[in-house]
Amino acid sequence: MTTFRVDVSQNEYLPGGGTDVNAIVTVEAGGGSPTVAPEAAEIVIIDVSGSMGYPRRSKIEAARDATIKAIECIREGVWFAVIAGTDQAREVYPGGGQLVRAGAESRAKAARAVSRLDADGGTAIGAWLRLANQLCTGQKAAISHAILLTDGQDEDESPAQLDAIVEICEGNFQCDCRGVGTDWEVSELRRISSRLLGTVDILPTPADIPGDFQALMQQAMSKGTADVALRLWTPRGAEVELVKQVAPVIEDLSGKRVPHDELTGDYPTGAWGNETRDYHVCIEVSPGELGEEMLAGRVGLVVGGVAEQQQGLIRAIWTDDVELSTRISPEVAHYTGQEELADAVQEGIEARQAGDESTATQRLGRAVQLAAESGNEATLQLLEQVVDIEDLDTGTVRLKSHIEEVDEMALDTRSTKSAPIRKPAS
Amino acid sequence: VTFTCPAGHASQSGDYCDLCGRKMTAPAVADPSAPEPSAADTSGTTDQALSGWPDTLAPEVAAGGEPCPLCGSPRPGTDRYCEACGHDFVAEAAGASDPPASSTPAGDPIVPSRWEATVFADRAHYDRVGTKDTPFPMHCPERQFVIEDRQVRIGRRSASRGVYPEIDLSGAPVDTAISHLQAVLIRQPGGTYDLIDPGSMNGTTLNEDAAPIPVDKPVPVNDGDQIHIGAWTTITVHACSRSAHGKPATQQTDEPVEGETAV
Repeated sequence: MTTFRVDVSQNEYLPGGGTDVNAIVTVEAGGGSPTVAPEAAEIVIIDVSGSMGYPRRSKIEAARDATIKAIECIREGVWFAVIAGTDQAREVYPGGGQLVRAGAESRAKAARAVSRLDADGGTAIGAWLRLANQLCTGQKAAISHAILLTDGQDEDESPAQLDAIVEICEGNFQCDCRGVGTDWEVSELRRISSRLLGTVDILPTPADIPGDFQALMQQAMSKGTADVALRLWTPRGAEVELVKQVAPVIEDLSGKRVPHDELTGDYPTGAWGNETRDYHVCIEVSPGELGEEMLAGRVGLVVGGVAEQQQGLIRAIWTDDVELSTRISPEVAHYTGQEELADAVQEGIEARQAGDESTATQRLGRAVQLAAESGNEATLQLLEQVVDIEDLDTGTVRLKSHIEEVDEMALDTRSTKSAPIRKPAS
Repeated sequence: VTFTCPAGHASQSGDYCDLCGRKMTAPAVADPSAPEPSAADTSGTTDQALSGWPDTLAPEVAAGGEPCPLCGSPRPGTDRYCEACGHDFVAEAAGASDPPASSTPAGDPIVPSRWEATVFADRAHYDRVGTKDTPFPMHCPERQFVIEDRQVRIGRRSASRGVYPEIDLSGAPVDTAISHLQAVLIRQPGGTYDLIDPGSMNGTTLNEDAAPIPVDKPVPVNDGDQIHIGAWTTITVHACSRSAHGKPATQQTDEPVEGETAV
């Protein structure tokens, strides 16, 4: 059985009159095993719109191959289905509004059905999600997960229509979104994956699809604990300023709060395997007297609606000792930097696309500086495709005269990947 | 087992009060220059044997205790204030509107002035609004609130929206033309208050002004000012020179009425 451990890193000392309490909450899940996992459902949604047939049928062929490989990774007995998406959604396998348990026979039949898929039609991502939602809610498996692949943006639905459908899906299944090529919209897929507790990434070429699908499915199969939420208690009079997952990927959860009672709220985090995630929590409290100590927050987990006993405590102690109150928690500093890095990248790209080169240069320069400081090599490498770096330490950069669209989209989608904190050498 | 925190709240957690968060026992850091051993360790602690989710034991607490004379909620143990409406049991027992000095928490500062709000059904305001959707209440006792927090919200409590105003006007008779979050009083450095309307449905007017105050713009309030909200509600603010202890005595008698009436 999976056990969770919550640890808090913070500087609990505040100067007189200080009100903002920052902490990094580390949640470590261990001891879980997929063999005793609850019932799971997997849905593969692939775009078969007309554009998937160009150039030279490479994308549709890779998508078929990837889907078959992903199905091979599905654990024996797990419910699954395949959806093909155009301007409408079609059940490719098994059909009849149902899912089927994975086994030798069902996998082979699914592979045959998938291999016959052809590319023709429009793109209505909302319709695809609506069908996935119907299949998942009909099955009621404890863990429901989908992989969505597209090569274009939603053409047949308005953003409001798509948002409304995503809202219906919220809480029913998690969804990892992948865009192949450069004709899809990063912000569109990010909105879907954020709300459906999944990830978003770019697959620059069709050849990247099969490996990624396999990895995604293997990761999905490693999740043995369903329906985990972070529970945060704060005292009367306190305001929760921020609850943000900061590792492995930055994802703001503040807007996902579900009130539990007047002082306690739950933040859904989906299904967990044996893994560690970090959260940045910021709470505004009423200032106490010097020397006074108060609890600014209690953090724990709720698994399937049942609260775990072990908790992390976020504390506040007011002191006039400047040395104590100005000390910075290395964890808070590191992840605050990673949050700023992600923001700087996204603002820089937005400014460049809007033609504001001076803001773009300034923000991407700041991003270079932050990535170098924090050892975020992956983001630094992506930045190097977009800017020429003159000075790493001061963040002096020049925009490249020619930027490949795929490089900019890769930087955008992967900017939320944070670097792990470097443990001090001991 | 329940514990009593320094502020007098009953708490199921023995480490920190599960209502206000205050540390339960012992002086925390009396001398900050000589911190306790754990103080040097900036990574916090966990696994508090005495801790527990506040809600897990809540029904036990709610079960006991005398009913609050204002709202009828059971008094949690020897808790000084009613958890539902904030009524001060100690002050009532002492038969004084001023809380007894002995109950003042140590070190409570004496501030030169504090503010009070009196809420009443205002016929003149009702006639100026001239609505026919909401009747003028037949009987509406005056309600008193203490204004002393850094931020004092005026409105009607709504669990579904997560709005719990300090000046909660959700009790009967309810003026449904008041927004759940109607206005906010923000304390200023000199101890005075500014009034902000964060975008209420029907607006907030001050004194004789016919035009509502601009949205999201702080307007200073003075002793004796009248804040008009909803269809018939007027709040008079007074500056009074007294010590700052005590607690806003909010009142609520009925479940809040959801929705807002346009007038």
